[in-house]
Amino acid sequence: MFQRGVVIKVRAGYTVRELLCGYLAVDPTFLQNRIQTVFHDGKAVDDLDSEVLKDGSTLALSAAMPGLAGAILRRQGILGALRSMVPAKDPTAPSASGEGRVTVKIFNLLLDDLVPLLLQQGVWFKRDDWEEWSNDRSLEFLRGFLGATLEGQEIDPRSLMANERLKKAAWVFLTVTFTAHP
Amino acid sequence: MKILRINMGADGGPKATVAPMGEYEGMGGRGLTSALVAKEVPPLCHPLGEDNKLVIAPGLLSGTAAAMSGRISVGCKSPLTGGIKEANSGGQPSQILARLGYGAIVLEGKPPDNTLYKIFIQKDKVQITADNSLRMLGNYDLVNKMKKEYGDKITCISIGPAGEMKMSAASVAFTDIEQRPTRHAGRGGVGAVMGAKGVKVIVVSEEGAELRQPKEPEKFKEANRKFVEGLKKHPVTGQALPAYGTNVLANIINEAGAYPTKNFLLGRFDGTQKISGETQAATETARGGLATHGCHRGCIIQCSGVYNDKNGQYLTKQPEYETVWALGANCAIDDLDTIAMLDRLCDDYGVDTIEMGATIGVAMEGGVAKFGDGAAAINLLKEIGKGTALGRILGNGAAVTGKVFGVERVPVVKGQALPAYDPRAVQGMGVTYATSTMGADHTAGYAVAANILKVGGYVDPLKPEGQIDLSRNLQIATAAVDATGMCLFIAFATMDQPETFQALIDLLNAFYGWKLTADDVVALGKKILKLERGFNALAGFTAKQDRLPDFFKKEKLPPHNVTFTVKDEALDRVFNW
Repeated sequence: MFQRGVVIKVRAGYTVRELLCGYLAVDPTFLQNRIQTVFHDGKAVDDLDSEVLKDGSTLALSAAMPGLAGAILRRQGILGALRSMVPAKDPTAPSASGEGRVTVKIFNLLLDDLVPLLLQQGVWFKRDDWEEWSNDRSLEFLRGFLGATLEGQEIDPRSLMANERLKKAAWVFLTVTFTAHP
Repeated sequence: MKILRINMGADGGPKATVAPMGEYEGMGGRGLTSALVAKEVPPLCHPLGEDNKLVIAPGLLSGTAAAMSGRISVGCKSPLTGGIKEANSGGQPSQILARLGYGAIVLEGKPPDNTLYKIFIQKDKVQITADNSLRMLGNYDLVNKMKKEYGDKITCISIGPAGEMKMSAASVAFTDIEQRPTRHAGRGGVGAVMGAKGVKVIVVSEEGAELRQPKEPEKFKEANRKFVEGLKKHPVTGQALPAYGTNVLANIINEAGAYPTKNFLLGRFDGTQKISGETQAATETARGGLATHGCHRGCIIQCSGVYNDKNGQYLTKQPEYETVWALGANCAIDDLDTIAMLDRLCDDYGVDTIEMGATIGVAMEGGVAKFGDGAAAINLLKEIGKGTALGRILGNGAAVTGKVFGVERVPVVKGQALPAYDPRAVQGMGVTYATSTMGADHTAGYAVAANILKVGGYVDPLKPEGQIDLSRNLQIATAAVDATGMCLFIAFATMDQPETFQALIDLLNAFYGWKLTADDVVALGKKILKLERGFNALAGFTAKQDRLPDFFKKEKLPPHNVTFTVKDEALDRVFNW
């Protein structure tokens, strides 16, 4: 699911760095050393401070990738000159302001570290995506939940995935609170 | 070290001679194969004729205790491109051949009839035996038969039915650690040349194979320690590749809009997440396979894996990025099990997965099957194994298939199919595809070290000219690495960590007692490329062959709607040094 992308609602106009280190509280050292391939709307990004996210943006994050292509697409990589010049977005598009939906995709080695951060802030699933994600969850996964609430009401976590209201909703907002195991 | 020459057309039957390396002393891998082919093969000869030679050469460090040194090079005049070819493979044979003292095996001449031969190499003995019972065996059955005949302490180099039928996409298979024929010198039809020589299998006995000893053991040990340390600490070689294999690239290249889809029509594939490295690793692990595995002993990157079917039974080795793309997205197939079966068939019949994926994609465009029809793709491959008329067309690659079915969008350079990166979306790859001596090749311009980039003058990466210079330097460095027997994936660590690149040079120096510098590595790479370019020129290649197909300049590639814009004049400057 996180490969295909989940939606977060944030203030439009965040730079990539502000979203990651501010909103998601990603450690700056982790950002520097581990998030080595970044795409904004399919274009490889080098400067995280000048790349501004808008309503409808897609942000994809990956670790350093192998191959010549991986090196070419790497953030601030020395082979960046071998990229193609991707046309700039419509310059007449509305400027970034207000709240916006940003699709975030997480790939490979970053999944374990970044997915919990996203879930803690909350992510939006479209109906089809929720159905697919919930169908893929095993009983063992559901047993890992200490509790669950749906619109403020407590429910059995094991019933979440089969819940009809959730299945029919156009969007599902999911947040997960992580508790350290004693 | 010694060279084993086998004249398959000698009077009275095939004849083996063993001689010192002579003028090829100090050469290995691609350095040796290209030097020998350039010197001894008439550039205008027919690739399937008696004058062509098939050179199988371990690298300079193969057979030593150096990590990652188990690669092998197979060189000849290519039946697919008509130019010089070096195809590279992993597996066990490189280490064993080198430890038995062989710097190269050279198959020469051609038998007068269609007798099939097997060759058995032991420490001090070579046996060549006619064995027509091996005819049309797939590589898996063949290797099992050789194990029954020669025991378990063997490693095999073989061709499948495709090589016997001299198809231009035929590969040479090398057995892996588990003695399965899963590693291939895939590109350029090297298997067809082996088939033309009448050799079905070379069986190499491990008995008596001894680790090659360095001239300066302590320095060698220290260099190897630093080399291994560098590989382990790098995030690509130490983490991403072991965890997910090369297919970790699928999501990235797709995101970049460079993932060729439906025969290079589109740059993104809707089904990518279903066939990504992440999904593949999870599937393998859930089924009791392996997501982390080495193709040869001494590999510490471990980018390979084992793919089991739904019942937990072995099906094939973990399909790699190129294979999953070629037989997946390029054909609009989004099912890993189908792709795994296609990979298994390619390994068994002995055909290049990249060429086959491109070929099936062209065939789909030509209406032979529908895009996305996995069952149809499997049936097309089976036609190759059976040697039907359709199978013979397909088995000769994308260019031939495109011609037969009247397809315009045929993604080949010098007759060889493009790999898994659309050059419109990654222009620098396009420069390498167009100008490489090997035809469209994603590994030709792969390796770089920061100091190599600065040798010969500083390159400004922001200028368009930078792309030409970078591609040139990448190709030079790659050619040098290919000569060492090292897996090219060391390049990621050597690119970022100068001390790791220095450790590689130190390994060579300590083993041979040399005093190489980075400049010498550059010189080696240039020498190899010069030999190859020279051969190709004599074979009739001109600047016209250093071009991408026209459609890359004209057809905009979604989602970014880009075309390939590097000018021909710029491409012609790649080899100016």
